[in-house]
Amino acid sequence: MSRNVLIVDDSAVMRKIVMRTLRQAGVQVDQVFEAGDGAEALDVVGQEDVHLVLSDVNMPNMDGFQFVREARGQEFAAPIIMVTTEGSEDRVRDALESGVQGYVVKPFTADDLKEALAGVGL
Amino acid sequence: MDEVSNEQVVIQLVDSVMEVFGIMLGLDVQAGEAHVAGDGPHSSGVKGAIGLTGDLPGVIALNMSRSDAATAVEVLLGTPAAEVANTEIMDTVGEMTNMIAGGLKTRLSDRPGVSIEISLPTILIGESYEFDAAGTASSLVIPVLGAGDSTYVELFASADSDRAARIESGCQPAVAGKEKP
Repeated sequence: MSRNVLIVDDSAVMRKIVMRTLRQAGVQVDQVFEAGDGAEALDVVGQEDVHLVLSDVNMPNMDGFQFVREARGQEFAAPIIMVTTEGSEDRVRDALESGVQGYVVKPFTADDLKEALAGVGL
Repeated sequence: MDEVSNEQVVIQLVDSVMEVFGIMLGLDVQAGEAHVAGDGPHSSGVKGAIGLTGDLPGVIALNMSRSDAATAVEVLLGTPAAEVANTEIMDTVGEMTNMIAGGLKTRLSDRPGVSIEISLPTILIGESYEFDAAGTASSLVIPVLGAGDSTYVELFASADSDRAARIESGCQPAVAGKEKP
């Protein structure tokens, strides 16, 4: 089954790495949307049919946590997986409480991503 | 707060550097001899810098030559190093610095009472530049062996913290003794 995926990261290189790793993890991707911060990501989920979001946390303009809260407030229900450098227990707990379903710590491998995707049933 | 010693910071920083270079670039890097930065020549190449606040105030920087950074982009994206643009090089070094700082934060923040926040990265590229991390007093340089001739990380300690004085008074090279047997 193919999916439309939104990748949110202020680093264009990291967005490419995430995409490349998704393919290595065996995820069939139909359409890829990219956003450089949470505000751009909100626009995308409001306009496009997105089935999965992979989002960074620390970004200019709007960070990943605020994006998740606002997206959930707009009843965006697709799985959101955080992909971030910060992996402390507090950070992971905050993320899960804010409405994300998975958490991947950078640097990550295809297996790390696969495990997070399995956690959201993909 | 549970005081974090310079030795603990350096050990965790080296661990984070090894993880980032290992997973991202497939390089088995090791830490060289840590030393206090002197008044050496100006920097050149690419530098990613991230500010730290909280219980470890200062700056962490990753330095690479342009050619080594271009090779890193080639490994990560498949673009031939000779064709890599400066924007991709700066983005890559910034993201690697971010991962190193985030890894250090994660490792230290799991200690009771320790709180560290990190900024977004700032990236410099050029033939000869001087880097002044405002508000910092001294820096510890840790060469990254196995990732090019001029790859190293720097830990700048805030002038307001005791850590700067401890670095200046002689943080022994052995603190970075994470070399594999």
